[in-house]
Parts: sequence; structure tokens; C-alpha cells
Amino acid sequence: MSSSDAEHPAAYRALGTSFAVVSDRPDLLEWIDDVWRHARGDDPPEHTFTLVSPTGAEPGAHWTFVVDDRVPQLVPEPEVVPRLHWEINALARAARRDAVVLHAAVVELHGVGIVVVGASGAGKSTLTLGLCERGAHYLSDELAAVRRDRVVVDAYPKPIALRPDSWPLVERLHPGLHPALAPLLRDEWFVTPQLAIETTEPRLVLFAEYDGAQSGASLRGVDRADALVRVCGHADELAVQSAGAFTALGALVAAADAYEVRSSDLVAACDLVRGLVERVRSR
Amino acid sequence: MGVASITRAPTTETVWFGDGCVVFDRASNTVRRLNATAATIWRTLEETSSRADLISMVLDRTPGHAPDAPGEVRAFCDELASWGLIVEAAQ
Repeated sequence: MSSSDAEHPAAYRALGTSFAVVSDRPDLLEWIDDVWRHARGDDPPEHTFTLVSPTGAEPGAHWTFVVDDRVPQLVPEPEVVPRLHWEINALARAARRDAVVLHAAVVELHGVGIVVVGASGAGKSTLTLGLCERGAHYLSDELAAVRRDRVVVDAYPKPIALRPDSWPLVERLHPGLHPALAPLLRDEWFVTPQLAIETTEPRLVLFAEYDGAQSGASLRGVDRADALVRVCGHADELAVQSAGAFTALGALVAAADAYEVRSSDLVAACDLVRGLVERVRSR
Repeated sequence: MGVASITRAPTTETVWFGDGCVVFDRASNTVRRLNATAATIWRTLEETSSRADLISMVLDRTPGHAPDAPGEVRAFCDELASWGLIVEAAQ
């Protein structure tokens, strides 16, 4: 690892905190700097990840993975980048005490903020990317930080992580990595949309559901009370948050129309969402 | 021994939507949607802690209620209590 890397690592914002990554692999640092480009910050990082590649070239070698001054851990090569993102997400969630954090994606299309809620594998990231490919501004594919004092969501512009079942839908976005990086990134694609913004005022809440049994996509309106119950199911544990978290989510669903989007077809789902956006804008 | 008082659990928070509401109970970390009748009970609990008064006030606020409505209101109260959303104190 060069001393300049260690002394002046680039810093990135992650909701209420910031981090830097140092490594003996400049190609990995370059890749991280590219995919986290919307989160670059100037302040000194609060956390540092140190990723040291294996000394030998033996297959199955482990990287040394260190968060701040914690005990170093050995991590198999394909798990290094997913682990890094998992740790960053955890730091971001823990740091944002002035907001309620939802497991949700966020974009803004034609000025309309959209929060996409869904369980893991429901297609949030794919829909997010599809909307960004159609002109939406990106805020997050993982965490929606809903402020407690007003209905505003702050960006957490991590790279969008796509699992293999999404790859055929977005084939043209194949990251085309240098072969040296490929072993680190074989299980997920990470794509960073072109356009990003810092905050949005949500006016649509979408509950994404992947439905392989149907062709195309369908919409179903969700009333506000049901929307609140469902949104709470995707919030970081409300009981350990200070008073006001539940009310903030109530304000979110009061300010936004809510729909369930079931689809197996990204193009059809994006068309439906664009129609909803136009409906909201025309009011 | 009768029930003297009936109150919302202090660990609850409420968000209202029209004639219904959603209640979060911090103690159990659960979120429940209350239908119109349960929501009327919930709202009326802001005004009285007497179970008997509660039932008559809820019936007053439920126009054209059926003859078995008092039993229904009692059943809703029991259900809210079983969820831990209301606290009953015996006399």
C-alpha cells in the first residue's frame, strides 16, 4: 500500500457519516471511487476500511478486512466487496439519528420523489435502475432516510447492486470490468446512475413485488393506513428509535400516493410508474 | 370485580387517516391498523376512562348501530386489551 493512499484516502458520505477505503490494490480503489462518485465528500472520513489482498496467488485466498481499529478479519475474495457495502450500510443506518431509515430505494422523476419499498429480491434495485435509465435522478437503492421534521428524503447514493437474476434485464449495463477485478465482483453488478440529487420530497410510495406468474406489470392503489403499516415493516426497528419516528412515517404516507407495482417486465413497470408520475404532476 | 378504568397504553402512538387510524405500540414494537369502530373506541379513550361511559359514548357516535353493538364494542375493547394497546384497571 502506498503511503499516499494511506495518508490521503478519498472520503465518501454515507447519510450521517463518512468513510474512506485504503487498499494495496489501486485498481480496486479506482473502481470504488468511480461507483461511489455521487457520494464523494471533502470532510475527513469518520471510518476507514482497510482491504489487503492475499499475499499468495493460491485459489481461495482470503483478503484481510479491517474496519477502523477493529480486529482484522479474513474474507474470501468474492465476498470482499459485498462485505464492504454491508458494513457501509450498517454505518449509515447507525449514524442517521435525525431521520427514520427505511429499507427502500429512492429516485426523483420529473420533480416527483418516489420511494420504492420492497423485500429483498422484490426488484427495487432493478426498477430504480430502469427509472434512472429513463431520466430519473438517483438517491438510493438501499436506504431512504426520511427526516423527522418534514417530509424530505436524503440521498444515500451508493452504487446500485444487481443480482444475477436482474442481469438479463439490464444486459447493456454490464460493468465490463478489468479481468483483475472480476473475481471480486462476480456475484453482483454495481452500477452508478448518471444523474443524482441530494434530497427529494416523496409524492409516490411504491411497493415493488416481483411476480413471475404474470406478464407485463400491474398497479393497485394502496390506502394510506395500509401503506403506513407496510412502510413500518420496512423501517429500522421503530421501538428503539426516539419518539416521532412513527409519526414521520405517517407524514410520509399522508404526503404521497401509494401503489403496489407487481411485475416481471421492467419496461412495462417503468411505463406504469411514468404514468403515475404524470398523474401526480397534473394535479 | 368490575373494570374501573380503561386507558390507552402509554407506549402507543397514533396516526389518523379519515375515520381510521394506525397505532404503533413501542412496548411490543407492533403496528396495527384499527377499523372504523375500533378507531372510534380509540378516539373516545381520549375523553373517558370509564368502560361503561366508553361504551355508551361509542354507541352515541355510531349512528344506526345494531342491537348487538354494545357486545361488539366490548369485544373490540377486549381485543385491544389483548394486543396490549389498552390498559384496564380492576376495581
